[in-house]
Amino acid sequence: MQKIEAIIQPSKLEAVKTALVEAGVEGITILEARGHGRQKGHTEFYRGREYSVDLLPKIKLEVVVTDTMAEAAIAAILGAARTGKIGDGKIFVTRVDDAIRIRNEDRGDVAL
Amino acid sequence: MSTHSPIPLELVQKLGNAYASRLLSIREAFDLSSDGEKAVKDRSALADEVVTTVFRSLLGPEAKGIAVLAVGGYGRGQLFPYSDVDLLCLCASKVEEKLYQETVRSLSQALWDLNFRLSATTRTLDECEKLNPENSEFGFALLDARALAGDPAVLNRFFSQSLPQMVQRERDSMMARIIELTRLRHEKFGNTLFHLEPNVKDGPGGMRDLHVCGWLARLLALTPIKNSRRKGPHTLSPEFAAANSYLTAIRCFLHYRAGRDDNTLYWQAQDAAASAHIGVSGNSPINAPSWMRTYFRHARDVQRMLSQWMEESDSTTISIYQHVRRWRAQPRASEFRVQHGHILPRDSLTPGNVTQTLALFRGCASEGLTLDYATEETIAELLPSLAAQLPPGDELWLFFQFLLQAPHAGLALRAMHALGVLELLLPEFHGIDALVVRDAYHRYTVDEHTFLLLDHLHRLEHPVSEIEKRFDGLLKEIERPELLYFAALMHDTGKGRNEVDHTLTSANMADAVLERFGADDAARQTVRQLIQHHLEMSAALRKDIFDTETVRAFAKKIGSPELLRMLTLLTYADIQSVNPDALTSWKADAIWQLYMAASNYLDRSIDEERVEADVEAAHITRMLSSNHDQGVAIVHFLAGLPRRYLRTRSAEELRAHFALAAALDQLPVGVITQKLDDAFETTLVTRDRPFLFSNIAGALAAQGMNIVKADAFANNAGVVVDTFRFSDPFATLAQNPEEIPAFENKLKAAALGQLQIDQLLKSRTQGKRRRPQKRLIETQLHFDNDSSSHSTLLHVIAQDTPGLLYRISRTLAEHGCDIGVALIDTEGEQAMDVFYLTADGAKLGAGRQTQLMASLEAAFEGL
Repeated sequence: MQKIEAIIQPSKLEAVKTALVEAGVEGITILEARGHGRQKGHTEFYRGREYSVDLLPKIKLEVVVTDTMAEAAIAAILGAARTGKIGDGKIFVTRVDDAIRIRNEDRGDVAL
Repeated sequence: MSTHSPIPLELVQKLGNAYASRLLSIREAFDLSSDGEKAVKDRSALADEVVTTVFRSLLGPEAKGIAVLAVGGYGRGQLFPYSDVDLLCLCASKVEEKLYQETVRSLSQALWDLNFRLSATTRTLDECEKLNPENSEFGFALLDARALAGDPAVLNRFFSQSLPQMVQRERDSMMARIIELTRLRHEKFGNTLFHLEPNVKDGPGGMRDLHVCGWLARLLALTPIKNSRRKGPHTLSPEFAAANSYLTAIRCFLHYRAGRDDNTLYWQAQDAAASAHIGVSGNSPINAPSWMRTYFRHARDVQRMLSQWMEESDSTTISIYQHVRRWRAQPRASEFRVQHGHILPRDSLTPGNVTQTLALFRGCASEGLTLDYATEETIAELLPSLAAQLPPGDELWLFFQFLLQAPHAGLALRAMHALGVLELLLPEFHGIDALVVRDAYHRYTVDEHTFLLLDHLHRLEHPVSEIEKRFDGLLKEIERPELLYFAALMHDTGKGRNEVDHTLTSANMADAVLERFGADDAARQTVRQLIQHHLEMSAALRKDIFDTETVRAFAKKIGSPELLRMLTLLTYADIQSVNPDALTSWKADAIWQLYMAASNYLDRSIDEERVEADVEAAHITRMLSSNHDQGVAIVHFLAGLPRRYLRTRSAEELRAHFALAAALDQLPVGVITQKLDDAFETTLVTRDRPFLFSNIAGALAAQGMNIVKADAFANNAGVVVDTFRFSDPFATLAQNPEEIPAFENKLKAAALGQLQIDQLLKSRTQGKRRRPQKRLIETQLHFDNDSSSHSTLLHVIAQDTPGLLYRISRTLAEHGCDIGVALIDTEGEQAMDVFYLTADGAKLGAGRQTQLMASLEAAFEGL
């Protein structure tokens, strides 16, 4: 099992969700996040005041998939989230030891 | 003395079998009849039999010093299928409590073995005479106590002495505690009963509220008559019985369906309850949303009854000091009076007198108080007579404008809605009465969502967080807030009509209302656009809001800064009213970012968006409903003016400006002055000439006017339309309206360059001490050569001082700059101006910018 965490542009959320569902991923956790990588923030002037956006709005999504599904899920995110511009985001993949469904204590791949 | 002998095993088995089979029969009977009251009564009677049998088998028929009582819901004889069975083992004293310790344990054990969901408590008679503040719920449960078995002497003392003593002594603190706990419970549900998936037990308007009514009614019945201010009967109304029967059936249904004590009406349960016709008569098919409307109507009745009982209890328990305070807080209004924290009519309500009734709701909206019980009842009775005597539309429009802008508009509207008055005045609202729109995002019915939206808009008037302060700033800038509030009231009225897009239907309905109300065209246009576009901002938020194209497309769709401000506020409050967690700070930030970007775009792109006569002729003619010949001339006049001009002026204003432009050969300067609520507005139409804008600005300042807003636009033919909005701090025009023609003549002379503005200004400011500035604003000057394809934008932020605009525009003219567009705005003491400049028909070069900057800085030094 692998956990895939992706930081994406908020505007790409719908496309990424659709792509993941099409790739067969069934559960997604979505978090509203703020942050920046190489794409630094910017400053907007409005009515004589400065409004700096040093932390940009981002979406963080998390999915845990079976090892066999991982590459397909990553490909789905890459395909849907890429614009080619700075700020498209990043994907992090980590290994997961176990998953337990709270309702019936299913374990492992069946719990996903 | 033997206190305890074990229960024979065969008795437990026999009882167990009988109990299980009779529980099944109760369930089967409910499945057939949906009669919840019978089911809970039968289960309660069955539990009585079992408890009595076990108790007697343990202690024999002659038990001394101990009795067993049913309390809580079981005490009321309402035992729901999976509710706890609340038992009180009552001992005469501590001696018996110790003596019967093992017996009580055996009783509990046996009942547990019989699959009772038992919740047993042991108390002595003395303990029942006092209310334990740590566990006041137990005190309330005792109010419903019912004898089951045991020593008659113990039972007798409990019912004739302990309980009455406790109630008599603790009556006020019990009522206060019941009210406090009820308010806390309601807070958990956002203080509204209109949840899409309501909890029928604990939610507002649910069964617990009925119990609270029952408790308060009983406690109040014990109140000495002289202390009671209640005018109504001390009994529970027929709606109480109807709601009790209905909610009991639903709760039974939910318990049986879930197989546990589950009281939430989830969507699936709503579907199932609707198809099983739970709580409703007839056999014709009923869909879940219609079925839920019945639920909400009962829940609304319960909440109304509850608030009446709570108010009644409140008024008997508050101190004399509080009464005096409430009395002293009385507003000096002639239309209503305030008594015990409620709005009452000054004179008794008369049939058909709608004005008198509406005044009461105005009172609710401005004072934040509800109507009293008797007044509500009277209004409900008078409703048919009110329907026959509705006031004319313009009177209703004035009423709604006041109501919607008052701080507690939501409270008044809810009261009007509950009594049927809102639908009487706005039948368009009927379609969303208790309407459920199912999606995972919405938590409330459409009507409640609407009232919450208004609450949230008004809450912005007292901002707490930084982001709220920003949105409050927008609210303060809105010129006609009543239109925003009215659009908010009507924005979802088109829902529930099986149409894909409700925005157009809602906009049409709002427009029909405003037509009936005789509202002006500009108001109708604004409300229509606002409602029709009310989802556009949310849609844009799903795109990349930092992308210029997203901002451009969104801003173009909205068109004017005023509409953008209103739409931003509507979106902010709309999202907030969907569910308590919908508006995260992340989302609020995004709304603000998009607003800011769109607002800046609108200010920086004016000369890119100009009226194209050849393309738009038909549209313009239609918009101004002109005949063809005049239409051609109007289109010629509008050609080349920024589209912003077209969007921010009403059809009448456009026609008036055109008339002035058409007469320029006879009257070289056309002037129109009109009085606004708190300012004046003068528009000049004339041919462009050097120093025109600065001369007019100077002439206004020289006459003591304080310019707060201005815009200057020019068409392809070199005709300018300059509009100045100014306050009149010395009330020269306000006090002497006959001076307006002389005032206008001075402006005309200034426009033609016939006045020595510098001297006039000097004589005005000479020898006068300047008012101290509350806030020091640093001057910011900034050239922008990128926003426009053919003009240089000059952004100015500066301290607003008399003659400021004159100085800036004069300096610009001295440097040979033509002002294509000027947007002048003031916020407090801060002036925020944008000038679109060209020199010799092109953008300003670097050299000219440097020189101009130096001159402007020098001009600011002199201020």
